[in-house]
Amino acid sequence: MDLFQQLAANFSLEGYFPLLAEVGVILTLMTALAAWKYIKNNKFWYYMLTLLYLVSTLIIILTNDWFFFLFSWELVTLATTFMLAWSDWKLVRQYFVIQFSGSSILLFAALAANGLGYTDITVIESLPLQFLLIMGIAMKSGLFLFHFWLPPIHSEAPSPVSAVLSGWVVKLGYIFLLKIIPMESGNTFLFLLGMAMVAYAGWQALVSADFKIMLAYSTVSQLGFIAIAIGTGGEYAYLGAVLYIIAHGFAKTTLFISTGIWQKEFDSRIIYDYKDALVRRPFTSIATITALLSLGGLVFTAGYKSKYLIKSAQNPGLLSTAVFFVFGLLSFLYAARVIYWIFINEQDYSDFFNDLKKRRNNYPIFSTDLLALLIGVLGIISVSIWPEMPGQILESLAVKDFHNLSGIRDTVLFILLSAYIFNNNQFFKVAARENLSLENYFQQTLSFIYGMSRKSIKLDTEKIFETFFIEAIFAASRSLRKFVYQDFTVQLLWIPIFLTLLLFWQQIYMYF
Amino acid sequence: MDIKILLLILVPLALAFSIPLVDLINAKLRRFFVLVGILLESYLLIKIITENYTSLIDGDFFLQYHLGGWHPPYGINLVMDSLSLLFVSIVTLSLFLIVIYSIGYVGHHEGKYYVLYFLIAAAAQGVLLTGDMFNLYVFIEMLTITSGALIGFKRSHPASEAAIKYLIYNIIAGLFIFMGVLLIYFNLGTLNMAEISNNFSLLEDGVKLFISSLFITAVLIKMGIFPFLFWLPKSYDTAPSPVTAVLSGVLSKVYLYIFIRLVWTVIGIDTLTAYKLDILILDIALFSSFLGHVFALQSNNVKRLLGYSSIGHIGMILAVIMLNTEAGFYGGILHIISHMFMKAGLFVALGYLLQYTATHHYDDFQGVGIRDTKVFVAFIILTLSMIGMPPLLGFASKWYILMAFLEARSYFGAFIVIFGSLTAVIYYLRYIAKGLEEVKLYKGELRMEIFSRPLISVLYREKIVSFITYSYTAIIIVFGIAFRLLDMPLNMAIKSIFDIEKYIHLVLGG
Repeated sequence: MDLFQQLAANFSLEGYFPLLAEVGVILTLMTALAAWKYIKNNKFWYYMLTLLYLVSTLIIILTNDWFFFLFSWELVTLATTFMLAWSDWKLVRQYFVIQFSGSSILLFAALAANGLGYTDITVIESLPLQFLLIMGIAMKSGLFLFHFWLPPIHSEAPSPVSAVLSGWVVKLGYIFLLKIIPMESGNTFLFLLGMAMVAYAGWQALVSADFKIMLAYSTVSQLGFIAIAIGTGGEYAYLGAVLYIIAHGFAKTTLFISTGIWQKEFDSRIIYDYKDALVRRPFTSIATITALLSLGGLVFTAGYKSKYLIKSAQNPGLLSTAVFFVFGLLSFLYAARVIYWIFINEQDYSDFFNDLKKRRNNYPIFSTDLLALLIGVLGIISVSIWPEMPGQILESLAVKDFHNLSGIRDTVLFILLSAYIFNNNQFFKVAARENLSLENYFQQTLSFIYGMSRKSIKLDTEKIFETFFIEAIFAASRSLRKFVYQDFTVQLLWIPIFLTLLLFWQQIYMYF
Repeated sequence: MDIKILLLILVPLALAFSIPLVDLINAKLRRFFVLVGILLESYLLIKIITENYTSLIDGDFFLQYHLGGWHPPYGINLVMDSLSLLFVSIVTLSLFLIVIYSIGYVGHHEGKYYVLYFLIAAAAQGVLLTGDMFNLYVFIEMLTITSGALIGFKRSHPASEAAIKYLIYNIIAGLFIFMGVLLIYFNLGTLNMAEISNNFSLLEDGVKLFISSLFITAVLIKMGIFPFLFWLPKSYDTAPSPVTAVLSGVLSKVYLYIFIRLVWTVIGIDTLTAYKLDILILDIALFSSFLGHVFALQSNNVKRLLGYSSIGHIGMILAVIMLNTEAGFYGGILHIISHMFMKAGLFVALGYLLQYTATHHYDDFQGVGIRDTKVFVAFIILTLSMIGMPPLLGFASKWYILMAFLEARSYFGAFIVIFGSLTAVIYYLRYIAKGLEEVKLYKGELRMEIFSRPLISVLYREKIVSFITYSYTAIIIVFGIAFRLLDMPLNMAIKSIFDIEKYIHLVLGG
């Protein structure tokens, strides 16, 4: 009992963190349901990893002890890393290296915080320390410039795993930031990073032809909003961040699960190939559309409510209004574009109900998939209707005026503007990206560096592993040997040196 | 007074000098003589153990022999306590196996080889049994010169070079020991170890330090600890396989025995602790172990690799002994035994595996495992034991060493043990993988192959050679499972290391 109390002292159930933990459980349940038919081999191990992941995320969200926090984050990393193995071991390796390089910075930052007197995870006043911790989670949560790994890996992973990664794992960093960034002041650096993420990744999402890559980029873009919220500071901004984490969690998990189904249905990830989607799988289509609209911030949806909260926390002024209008437009554009290409372009709905009865789906409709999507849609809808959350956890939102009228105005403006923009740009019909992979990024970087010396190099992950781990070890030991093995006379010189060392050792020892 | 102790030295010595005479009669008789000699030696040892079995069990085993009837402190006396009995047993077993191996392996200049070999055997027994400082020095010099000659046995350029390097280092070391012995004699007027041990603390501070430093430097040179490791891989590489097995399996362990004898019995570990030298030697030994393992990583020569790994293991043993705890000695001596058989077994296996290759280079190792699968499996088992795989002897000894380091809170030492195992995985797996690669020969290469490499086996009696390899592997497996059998002799040896008073009392008063 005593031990249990000691253990319980390391966890706190205050504020909105239990709510976030619950949402995490629900999202994990969704992905587990979706994986029931998607994962075929070694199902037992997949669910064991899911269980490990679930327990560790709960610990991360609820603990205020540095050790538990770091340890369970490593466990999350390990569990999700091995989940990628159901797609490709190459991804496992890449993700592992990236996550652990991030972990090392986080570990350093956590040790520094601990050393400076923050023995628990609490609000941290020191700015340099905040900076260090933000850098620590940067690699894991895909902050700007550290997000480079996110689109390739999230798009290549198996769909349920993508849902896990994109829906919840990247958010753990922001949940951690909610604990440590002071609510009164926020953090300007984080705010600026968030701006860059929204703009850059939003644009990338707009010019993606691949559904999963588009979703991965939109994840980065949406995370930017959360970063902006935490960077702004203030009660409503923080509530906005919490709401955003929940809303985006539901929407992105639903979307990634549905991409898995679409991919099996059409045998393609390119959105131009999706024909008669609504007829083939009506329920999946509804879930996709709902989630995309929430992502785009349509008025009355969960996405709108959380975006509005973040917007309202800014200093009022023309500039902030304009900037957030553009950001909202950008999110709306990439969401609407996908809806257009999948459900509107070249679709024939004249004989819709008769077509529906024919049940022309290629990939069987599984009840587990439907249940997962149903939970997602219900989640989005309930967040839209009750932003204060069941149980009045975010009670100040119950009386908050969300200015739905201006929301309707904005949405109408968005629709008009996007119609104009799409019309002038052929609805951004772009070619799919060729070989979006980390190897390619490394190859480009290396080619750039080697381009300066007019040498070319072919990159191969296996080779790099071999070269790095074997050649580096061998080269290091060889150079050490070269350093120790000098001329024969020098080798013999060691004898008198050693004898002298022994004779004067007492005097030398005194200096230590 | 037991004449068998003296005979343990005299039999190989007499054999060494009678082999040239036997050669005059009939060269084929030589092998028979060698076999008889080593069997006689084993018989003597078994006789000593069986006759004194009750005293061994009671823990008061002690034998000595006064040469010429001169009682100590005058004259030379031979002493055998539990520690030397343990070492004599394993050394004799190792020498026995290697001599049978040599009968199959050595073809050219067999007569000279056996003369030198049995001189080493006599000197090794002498070092283990003597109770007299000057006698110890003489036997050490005998070891140096005979092993130097055996290293240069192939008469090639690199062999001669290695032998000269070996001799330079070891004669300097011998000189240091000689100086130490002289200083002891001038200051104490005696050469008997027990007498010296009794009076060593009476010496002046500076003299004590100087003598200890001389002895330590000399023995470290001979063991190949860090600043003096340069001669070791080279000589292991160029010597014929059985010689390397003797060098690594027997000689380095004999020097470890000398170190234990000198430091614990003669000088006294308290002297070193007073000068803080024990910490220095501990750290140097660990650093040397680290360097040995790191150097082994880069080695492209199998036998040199084994030499570097020997440096790593001997450094580890020396360090764990320097902890001066019972657990440390338990792990250390157990690892002395296991390393003796593992390393000798590896060299013996290599002698068989490398019979067709021109060099010991990594590239030449290709396809070796496919050609001689059975011996290669033995080789793999031995390397696994070196790494520390559980059912093998290497695991048991490494485990006790690790426990000893952890018990003494020497975390650097514990790190080195694990680091050694991990690096060993890398460097052995590299060779095992290469050995299992198939050789694809093209026309041009084939011609090169024929002109450059001896495709005919250089072994004379292949069956014997492979049989000895298997017996080493069997020893490793059997003792790995039943390493508890070694519990009693180890505990006896440790007791006799720490009970110096008893040693002095028995030598001087008995």
